[in-house]
Amino acid sequence: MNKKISKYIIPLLFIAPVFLIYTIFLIVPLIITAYYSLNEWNGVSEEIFIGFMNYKKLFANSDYWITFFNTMQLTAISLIIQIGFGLLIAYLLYNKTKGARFFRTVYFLPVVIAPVAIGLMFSLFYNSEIGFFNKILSAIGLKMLQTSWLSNPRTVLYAVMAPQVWQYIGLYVTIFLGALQTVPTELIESAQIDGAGKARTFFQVILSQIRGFINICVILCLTGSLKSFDHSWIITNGGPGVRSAYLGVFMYKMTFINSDFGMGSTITITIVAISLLITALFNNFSVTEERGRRGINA
Amino acid sequence: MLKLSYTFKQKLATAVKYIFLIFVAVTSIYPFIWVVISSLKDNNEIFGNSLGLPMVIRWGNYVEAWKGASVGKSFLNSMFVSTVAVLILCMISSMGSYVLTRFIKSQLLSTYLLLGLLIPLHALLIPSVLIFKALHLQDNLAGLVIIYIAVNIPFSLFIMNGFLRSIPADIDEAARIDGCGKIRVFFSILLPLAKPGIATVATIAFLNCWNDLLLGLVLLSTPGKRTLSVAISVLKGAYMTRYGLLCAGFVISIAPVVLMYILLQKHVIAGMTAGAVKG
Repeated sequence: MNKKISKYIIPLLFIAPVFLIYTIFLIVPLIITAYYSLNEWNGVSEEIFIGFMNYKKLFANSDYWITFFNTMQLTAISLIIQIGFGLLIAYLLYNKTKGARFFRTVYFLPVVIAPVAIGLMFSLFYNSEIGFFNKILSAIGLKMLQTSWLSNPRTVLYAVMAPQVWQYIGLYVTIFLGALQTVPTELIESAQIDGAGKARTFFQVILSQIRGFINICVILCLTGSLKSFDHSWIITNGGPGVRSAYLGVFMYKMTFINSDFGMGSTITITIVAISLLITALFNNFSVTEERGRRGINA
Repeated sequence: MLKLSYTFKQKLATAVKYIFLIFVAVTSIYPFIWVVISSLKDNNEIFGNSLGLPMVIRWGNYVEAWKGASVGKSFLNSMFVSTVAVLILCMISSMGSYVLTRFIKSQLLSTYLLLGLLIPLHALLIPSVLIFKALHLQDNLAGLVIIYIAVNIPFSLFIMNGFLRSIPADIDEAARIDGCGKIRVFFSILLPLAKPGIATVATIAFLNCWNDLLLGLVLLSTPGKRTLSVAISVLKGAYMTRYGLLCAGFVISIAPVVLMYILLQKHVIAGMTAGAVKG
């Protein structure tokens, strides 16, 4: 009897801290957020249950859709630039490049820096007095492209996106470089013996070999964009209005500046839902595709 | 003739490749160099000589940023919070992984604990404020430590599970036959073997804690308790026209991370790409 207890007591004691902290501070908050999204609440007075009214109001709010489409634009641009450049640069490094490790180290550096610091750095670059971008434009003879990046409503959103997209290219370079190293060299050699050029080998042999990694990078890129907050917050506070805000910034403003905790929770739940949906869709999609390629009916 | 032009083409292609790679390297690193150089200038020089080296080196910017802008205090706060969170996290997540990979091999439990990888931080903000209020931990660095541990648990378990699974169970069985209890097997046999995994977890968790803005912003209100990220976000408002000082604050805030990256590069890269490589 005693032995039986001691058989389980140590494992349970060992897993208890992780389980409890995780459940209390991660899972319970998620459930509480879902509950608050069904309430009208300013964070101070008693909350009032109103069902799905917050969702109805939110979907009728034009600011929500502005920030939603800003987030989607960021996602699309990140996908194209980060995955595209990531693959291109990784492929160049992979092809018998001298100093590949050095280049990788340099490219990865921005990835480890706090987004808030990167945001601060770029606000200095955009600054109209000392602005380094405008100085470079005039140095290369493109003075007519100079603008006050953060107050021009046509450029502000892209000015906020740029540092974020730039910062994480190195992450994708590194993942893809690792991916390329898993491709068996015999496969590439035999394709080339069969007369396939470099481009054909890349598109038909290499890409299909690293498809799993590409899928994961797409998920990383999509969910990463949905969580965006820091760059936009530090550079412009999402302004003017919500012109350069993402869903995360809109949620923060709604909750902690407008004190609408109910609506803030509603926005949060939509972010979680989109994020889960994307991950589920993509996982499913890639599983189906994998089966399709192997000739198994899904 | 034809052959010659072929090698010429190849050489040209190689040259273009290296020029491109160097160009990308410059765009990755030059912005930081510019800030480091500017942190040693005064406003006049930043205006007039924005791309050149400083004429007079102004170390004073660093002294003033550390003291006046209370970057120093926030630096210590961040160091305290991140270090304590990482130490506890490494301990409890390797203990948890030990159980998950040896005793309770339940798929359901593992999936439950990894589900957190999909939860965006935003989902925790509002309830965390309330939970900490109830626990009398609002505006308290200890509260921040707990939540940093919580948000880093899923990925730590993910990495540690992979690591402990790769250590053959025969090793612990042999030790058990020799009379080691479960606790001793863990502490004196598995933990030393799992050091590289723990190093990876520690590195990434430290970066996550050090770089976080959102949780610090929401959970702390007293200026003296600010973490460095929060202080930096305030710095911009307070010193927006004193660029040298701002740059010095920036350099102080990224220095530990850059140093860590240079020293522990292998672990940083392994940890940050682990999800992609193992998933």
